[in-house]
Order: sequence, then C-alpha cells, then structure tokens
Amino acid sequence: MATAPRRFNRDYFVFLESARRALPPGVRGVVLYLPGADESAFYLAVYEFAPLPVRWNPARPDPGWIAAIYGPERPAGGTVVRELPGGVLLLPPAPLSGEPPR
Amino acid sequence: MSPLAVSFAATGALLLVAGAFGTLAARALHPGADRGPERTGWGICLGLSAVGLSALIASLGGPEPRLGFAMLAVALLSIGWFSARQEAAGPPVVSSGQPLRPAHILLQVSILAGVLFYTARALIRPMGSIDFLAIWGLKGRSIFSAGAIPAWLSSSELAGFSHPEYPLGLPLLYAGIAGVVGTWDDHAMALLFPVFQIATLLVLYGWLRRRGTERGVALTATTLLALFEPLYSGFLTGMADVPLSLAMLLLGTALSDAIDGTDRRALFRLAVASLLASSLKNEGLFLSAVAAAVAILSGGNTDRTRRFRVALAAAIPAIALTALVRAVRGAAPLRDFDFGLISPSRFGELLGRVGETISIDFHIAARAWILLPAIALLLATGVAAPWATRQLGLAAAALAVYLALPAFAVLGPVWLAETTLFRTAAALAPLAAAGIAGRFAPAGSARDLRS
Repeated sequence: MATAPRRFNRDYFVFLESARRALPPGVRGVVLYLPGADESAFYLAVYEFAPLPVRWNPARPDPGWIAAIYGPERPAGGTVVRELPGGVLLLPPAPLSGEPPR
Repeated sequence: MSPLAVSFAATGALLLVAGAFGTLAARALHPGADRGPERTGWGICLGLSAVGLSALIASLGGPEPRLGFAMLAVALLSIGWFSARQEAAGPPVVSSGQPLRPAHILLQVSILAGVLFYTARALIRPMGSIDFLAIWGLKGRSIFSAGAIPAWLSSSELAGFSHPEYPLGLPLLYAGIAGVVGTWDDHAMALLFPVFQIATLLVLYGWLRRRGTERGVALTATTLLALFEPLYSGFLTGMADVPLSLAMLLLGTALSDAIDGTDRRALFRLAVASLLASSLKNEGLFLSAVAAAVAILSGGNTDRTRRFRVALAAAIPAIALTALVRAVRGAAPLRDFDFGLISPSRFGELLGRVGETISIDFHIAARAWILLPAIALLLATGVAAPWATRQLGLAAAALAVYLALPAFAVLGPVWLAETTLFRTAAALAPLAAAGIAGRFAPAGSARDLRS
C-alpha cells in the first residue's frame, strides 16, 4: 500500500467528522460517494467511521447502511438524515442504484 | 488544561506506569544488578504488552481495559516481587567499573538529542500516514470503539485493503491505550513511538555492554541508532516498523544469549521475543523461523541438544501464535503477492520481474549511497564474533527477502519496492547496529557466561 502522509482537505475532513457525529444508532455500515477517485480520501473515511465498515461508490447500498455523499449533488429520493457541511447523510432505501453523484 | 494536554498527560502517565510495572516484572527475564538498561528495555515491552493484552481480554468479553490492565499490572508486580526474592539469594554481580570520560558524556547527550528529535518528529501532528489510517489505526480504533474485534476486519471483501492477514499486536496496543485512557487520540498516542525508541536504545546499549563491548563503542552505536532518521521518522510513526525493529533486536540478542548459554533465562527471553515479533508483523514469524535455523546451524561449543532447544524456543511461540490466530479468525491470503509465478508455465514472466526487481532494488539502494560504504568499512575493520555475527545474519536474511519479494508483487516490483523497501530495510538498523558494534569488542570479551 502507498504510504504517503495524510494530506488534509480541510472541507472533506469537516464533512467526515460531521457525518460521523450525525450517524443514527443501529447503522451497520457507511456507503461513501466521492466525486473523483481518491484512495487516500477513502482511507481517511474508513478510519473516521471506524468501527463501521465503509464501501466506496458501490452500485447499491446494503440494507441497514447509510449513504454519506460528499459534494453538491443530491440524488432524488431517500431520507435525508442530515445536511452536512460539504455533503449529506441519506438513509436507505436511497435511489443510489445508478451512477454515483458527480 | 486543554483536552489535548489532558490526553497527552494521561497517555504519558499510562506509558510510564506500564513501563515501570513491566520493568519490575522484567527481573524474571533479566536477573542481576548489571542488567539495568536491558531490563528496562524489556520491561517497557512487557508493560506495553499488558496494555495490549487488556484490550484483547476486553474484546473477548472479559473486564474492560482499565480493570484488565490493573489486574495485569498486579500480575507484573507479583512476578517482579517473586523474582526479586529469588535474586536476593543469588550470587553477587561484579560491576564493569569503566570510568566515564568526557566523550562518553557527549555521546550520552547525543543519544538524548536523538530521542528528543524523534519525539518532536513524532508529535508534530497526529499520526496520519496512509498505512496508519488504512491498517494499524483503523483496526485499533475499530477494536476500541466496538469493544471487540469486528468480524468485518477479517473480510477480504470489506477490509482487504487493511490486510486481514496482518497480526493484531499493534492495533490491540492502540486499543488498550485508548481503553485505559478513556478516549481515542491519535495525536497523544504517538507518544508510544519515542517509548519504543528508548526501549530499543536501552536494549542495544545494555546488551553490548553485557557482552563485553567497551562503553565508548556501545555508546557510539546507540548514538548512531538514536539519530537514525530513516527509522525514527515522523512518517513511520504509527506504523509497525518501529516496534518491529525493537522486537527483532530482542529476538536477535536473546538468540545469541541462548546459543551461548549466557544465563538460565536466555531461552525464556527468546520465547518471549518470538511471541512479540510474530504478534506485530508477518516478518516476525519469518525472523523467528530464521532464528531457529541459525540456532540449529550454529557450531562452536554448543551441543546439539542445546541448539535444538534454542530452535524450539525461537520457533514454537511464533508458530503457535500464528496458528491460534488463524484458527480463530481464519486464514487470510497474502494479497500483495502472487506466488503462482513460481510455476513452470510462468517462468518467463517471473524472469522479467526478477530483472525489474534487481533494477529497482539498485535504484533504491542508491539513495543510501552515503550509508552503504560506511557500513562496508565498519564490517571490514571489525573482527567477527559469533554472538554479534548472528545479528547480522538475521538482518541479512530479512534484507534478502525484502529485496526479492517485489518480484512477486501483484501490483509489480516497482510499486512494492518503492512503497516498502526503504522503510523495512531501515527497521533492520537496531540488529545491524548490534552486529556491527559487536565486531569492535575485545576478542574473548563475551563475559557474563555464567549458567
């Protein structure tokens, strides 16, 4: 694994921290939608959401998982749990079966 | 007092308490009045192991880490008390009695400076290398937050990137610290790493002195190691290389003591070191196997039965721990490597990768151009002593594997060599320091060979 030191995108970190604090009880995992493919951003999310497992841009969220969407796009449907700085937290069933938001 | 200051104070206090209790118990591993530095180094490891063990016990449904650590601290105290009682009836120990010269004081100040520099590098920001986030910190934080080892950490689908095949020693230590302190703080927890460095320096200096190396030589080796930035860097803080480098030194020194029969506890130390090394990284299991091979192949005055016992002490704890973990968590494949390349049908592909590996190995070795001639010169000017050469043998075996493995990397030799070779080789520095410095000990000076 590449081992570059953590380079903070402050806005992204604030989004993750806000999402972590806003997670409702009983959530089994987090599906993360990021604009662009940035592995280090995924690893930071995995670390922040621990001990919950995180999937990155899956076609469909698993039952009981929550969607954390970073960026301005908002897919139709789903229940908004919390609008966050830089993104949103959506509760399934969310219509995320298509392409991730861009 | 800010929350960060409170966190630093609590973490520092825990590390001090764990080190103190561990040092008391380390009397069982290192009896004798002349074992101070080594005993403290080993004691720090025992104390930290108790912290990690408290998280493991809690994750298995036992008492929460604070209570678990308190109980383990009492156990360490009891071991220390019983050992002290036994020791009181033992033979008196003669001090080395070499005078302290101004140059020695200068070297001691340099060692202190090395520790302070590393402490500054380690604490300048929270631990945050990608490997910390995706592997070591992730697992530690998950165990701490869940109060258990989450099953998904063993899933190659959900957590393959975090290498489920890696041992959990360091994550459990992180979880134990957070559990005892009561909060997860990846900044204050970095205090752990200068503590690993201090333990390494104590073991190196103490062992070299006990095996007859002059104070100036031992201090010089310790100084050079303390100032060795490629190992003690901010970048490696949070990853397993620094603690593994300590465990490998424990393994190497205990191996030499056990083969030479320096004292009755040497075999026990070797078994403990084998356990510690294999709990940190898979390289620990490999090095324990190499240590067993070294024991069997060592000649000299060592009889065959002793060699066999030493080999067992080196291999059995590491193999038993690995087998136990695999039985409980399941066997996870080494996902970075494709050993199918060894098959005859892929011989051509492997040959191409070997060429690529040799090329990238030389490219990376060139970055250490100033270091390699210095090491060669020191090796050429010193005099071989078996007890020191064994350290170099272990380091050379590990280095050979690190140099060859990129040929089997799934993502290609360049990727693996670029991301791991320099830091994994740097982690061999304590073993190399012990092996090289030992070549400058007066001939036949390996004292303390009482049985």
